[in-house]
Amino acid sequence: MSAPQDTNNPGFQVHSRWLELSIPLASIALASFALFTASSFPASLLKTDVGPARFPIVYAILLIALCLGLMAVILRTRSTASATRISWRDLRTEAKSVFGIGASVANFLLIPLIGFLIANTLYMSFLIWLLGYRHRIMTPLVAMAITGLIYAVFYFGLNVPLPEGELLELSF
Amino acid sequence: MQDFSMLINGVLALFDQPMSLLFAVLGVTLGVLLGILPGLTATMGVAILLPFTFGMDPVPALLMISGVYFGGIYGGSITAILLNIPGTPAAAATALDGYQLTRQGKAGTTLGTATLSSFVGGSISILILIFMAPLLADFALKFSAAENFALAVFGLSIIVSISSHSMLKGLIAGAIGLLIATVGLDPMSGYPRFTGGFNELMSVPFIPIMIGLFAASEAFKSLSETEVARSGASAIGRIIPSWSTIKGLIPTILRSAGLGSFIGSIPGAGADIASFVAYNEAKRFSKNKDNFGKGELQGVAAAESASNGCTGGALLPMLTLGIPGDAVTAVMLGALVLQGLQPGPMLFAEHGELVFTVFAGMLFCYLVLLAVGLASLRLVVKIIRIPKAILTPTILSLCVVGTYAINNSVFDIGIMLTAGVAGYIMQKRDFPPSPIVLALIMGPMAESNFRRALSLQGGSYDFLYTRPITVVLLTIALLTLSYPIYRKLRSKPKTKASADTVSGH
Repeated sequence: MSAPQDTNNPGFQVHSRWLELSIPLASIALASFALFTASSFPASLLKTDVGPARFPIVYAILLIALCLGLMAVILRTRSTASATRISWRDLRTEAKSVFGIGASVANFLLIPLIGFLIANTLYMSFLIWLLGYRHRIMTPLVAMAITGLIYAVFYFGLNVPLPEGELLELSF
Repeated sequence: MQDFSMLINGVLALFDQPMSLLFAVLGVTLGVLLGILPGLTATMGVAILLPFTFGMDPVPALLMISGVYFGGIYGGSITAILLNIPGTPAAAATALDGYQLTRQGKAGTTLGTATLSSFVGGSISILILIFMAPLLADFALKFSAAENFALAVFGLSIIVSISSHSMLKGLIAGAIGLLIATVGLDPMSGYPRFTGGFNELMSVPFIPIMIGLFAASEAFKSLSETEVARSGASAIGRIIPSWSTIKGLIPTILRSAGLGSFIGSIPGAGADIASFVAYNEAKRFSKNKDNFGKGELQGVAAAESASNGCTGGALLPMLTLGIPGDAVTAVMLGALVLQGLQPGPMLFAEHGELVFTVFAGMLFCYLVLLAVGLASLRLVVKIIRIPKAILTPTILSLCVVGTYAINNSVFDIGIMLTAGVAGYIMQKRDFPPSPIVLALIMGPMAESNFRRALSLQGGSYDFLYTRPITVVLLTIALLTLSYPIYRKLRSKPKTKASADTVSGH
């Protein structure tokens, strides 16, 4: 009975085994970079010290060894779970997190330019909309109210001046 | 006796600081709220609140953080009882009988029992902490660089026990943390390592990483999770149990508090383990064994007393040795560092009065927990309905502003977001984030003490096997690391044999 459903919604599919391998591969890249960089650290002037490079090198080698071990385990496993494919539907659900991360990066880039108050109101409006509370007036109003509250707590309560924004400072 | 007089002085000092009392109340209330809301953990709460404590005096700051920790552990039981949704992993044992009792129309007395048990369990554990911590700190004062290195290695070996699903993945996370911990100035020569020319990276940006790993990553994850319908019992009835009920529960509560404190003090064993162990013990001692799982008040009392009993126990190695046993105490360690206080034996020698004032405040936090818990239970039914569409964006905004507030640095927001995205991907692939934080704390401690010990010994590695305490600690670390591997190897032939039996070979 499940076969027709699969053919009805074939979508774009990714082997989860490749996703499993992504973290050890990225970690090996990180460790290799650390090894390469640490090899240029100067030796210690003290005869009794191992120098600034020793510990990063040991940790990087340890990380590479552990990642290779995990990769061997993943590649050796032939269970159904590791061979399952991730369907469009799963990816669509994950898309909300990806959009949220994208919005967070945009907020991070916008804060120095347009200031916390405007950037965070836009950011919160988008997230509230993304999570299904979609109202033309209420969504931005709620976002504005929460942003204002956070601003008041930090600015007046904790004496933390939040960024005003370079563009706004230039225009006034 | 000296500890007792210091505690009395601590109580007097505490009541001279009304702001500290106020922040303790605020912390407990926020903690209970965080615990109630599924998906928000005590670790997340402490991580988000950390930047708020920057600029505050140490006592109110530490009491607010402690209040969030205690309240968060307790708050998880409320949704476990009312909705069968454990707010924290530790509350899973509470849900076993708690929800069954709610279905029987006894939600009020079950919540009341959970509150009383949490209060007694937590208070006993803090008393144990008060009288044990100075003894352990005195002993640890004898440690030199070699022993401190061994202690850090022992702390790192805990990674194995906090890596719940895959030991290998936990170890990889730990190794990543160790590598990140080398970013910044070299502890001996002052040479800048992996800084890329950024002044902000002269020391490891510990707090932005923690906020990212524990709060932002959880919020990113919750963006794609479907909201659970949260409509529990709307009326909860009588809250405080009758005296005869309480009398019958006293042995269970006391036994579970002791168990919780002991288990909590073992680095790597948290409130979730303690609550299940205490639940099992309560069942073993009970005359109504068959009633467990069907709605037994003793089960709720045991689980709650033990999980809150863990709080004082978990603070013991963190405060006296500088070893955080779990994620939440790791974040609390960050709170202490942010206040300019270095956890470890010297904390008691240099800031004894402050430490005992905080201890007195922790007992006060549990009194507040009892009052807030009993008074707010009727409101809880309404609070648990706050929509995720408001909650998650607010948490993410707080992560951004909170991180910025520590150093007034937008660069730190970038670090927090990077850690958040990394934490999110790691969680999706079943990599635990806690080993990274543990390694960030223990890595620099291991490196600086190893190199100091090496210099003191004139470049000889003898200190690794000639000093008794170092040898004992390194042996324990080795056993902690190798035992799970041994257990796995031993269980493999058994699994294979049972598989053969099933398949008929």
